[in-house]
Amino acid sequence: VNLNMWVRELFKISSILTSNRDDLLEVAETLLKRYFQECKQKFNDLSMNLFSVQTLIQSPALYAALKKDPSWIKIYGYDRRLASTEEFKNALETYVDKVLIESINPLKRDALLNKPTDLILLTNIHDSLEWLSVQINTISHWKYYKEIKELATNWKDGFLKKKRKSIDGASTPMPVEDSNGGESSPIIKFSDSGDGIQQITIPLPKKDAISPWAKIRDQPIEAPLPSITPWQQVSFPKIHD
Amino acid sequence: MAMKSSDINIGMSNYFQLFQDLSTKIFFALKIDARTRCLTHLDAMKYTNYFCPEESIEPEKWTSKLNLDLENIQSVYKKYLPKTKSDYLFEGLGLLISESMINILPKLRCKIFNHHGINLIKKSSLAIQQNLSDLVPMKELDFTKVRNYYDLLLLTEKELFQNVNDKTEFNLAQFKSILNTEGPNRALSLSAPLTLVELWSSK
Repeated sequence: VNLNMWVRELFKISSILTSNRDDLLEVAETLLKRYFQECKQKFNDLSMNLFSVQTLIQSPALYAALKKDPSWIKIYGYDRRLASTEEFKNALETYVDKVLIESINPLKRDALLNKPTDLILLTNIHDSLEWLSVQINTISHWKYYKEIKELATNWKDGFLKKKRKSIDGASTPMPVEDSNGGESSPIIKFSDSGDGIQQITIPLPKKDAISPWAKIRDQPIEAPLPSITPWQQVSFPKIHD
Repeated sequence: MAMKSSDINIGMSNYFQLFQDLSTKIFFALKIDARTRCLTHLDAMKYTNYFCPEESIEPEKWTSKLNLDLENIQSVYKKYLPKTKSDYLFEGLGLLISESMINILPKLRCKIFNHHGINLIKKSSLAIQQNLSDLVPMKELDFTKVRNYYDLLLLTEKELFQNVNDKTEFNLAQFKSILNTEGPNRALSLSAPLTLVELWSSK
């Protein structure tokens, strides 16, 4: 339980922090590993004699059929097309109900979860593992999203650089004049204007340099003016009265 | 050396699967345990004598044990699980108990029933029905079927065959079990099961 709380706290903190998140997640992963092993151990200790668990282990078909139970699918919002009432009912009857009804000897008492504490422990483990799996899934998606975003940014930067090079028509960077009158490489600079909006500053080329880039820069923008057609002048009906 | 974020991803998605699998396994185990619990209590029927010397006011002892057991586990589920999950774990128990009360007949050690014995089973089914209806949404018809089934034991052989023609509520195996059990108005007959099969096939 303590370990579970630790992991929960780490997830919370990692969702708030922007830096060192990976380090925190690494710690969380170590804790998850320990937590999982501990849960599995508890479950194995409890289920050694349990009829329910042993049946599930020995009959993979039952486990598969239980996953097709429409009610279970409904709880977890899975694809309802996977549901098969017949398969689910038949599996339960074959592997559980008939086995018990037709058995000559009654089931031993320790084949059931007799202690309320054991029942509570199992429900808690189930609930905690499920909660954690949802958190892991969220974090995994977030990590993928972050990586894709980084990849996209890198690709965009690379593309812009390549485009610049192709426009210049040379493999060497075109010498440009910086604000102090010197020369600097043609890098697109990003600056924060203070209100969080990034501005792109492109260094100007030398006044006497003739290049395709300069030609493009000096070209006037010829965009067609928007024309107003008669139907655009008609007022639109109000959506809400 | 610090782990790459892609490595963490692989680790994390592995844990997602492991956690999900164990969590699901526990949940299914709880469902099967609830069913096993019911069937274990029902097992007492196999060893009960239904040729009772007198009318009993109370239902069978195992029913009160079963009811108490179900109430206890329901209270734990209600406290520690969301309602949807708790309902899921109890879902189908009404049908399971009623069907099992019918299908257990050929497994009974005592093959002779008198009026008191039949009434005792009917009382037991009513007691379970009342308790279960407080715990989970269920069909009362399932337990009415149990009472109708054990009422068949009150019929004579002729009346029973008439019933085979009329009723479709029970299957051939269930009718066979009735014929193989001695009722207050009917003795066992060797030819009766054959007549039943003939009647059933001509239906």
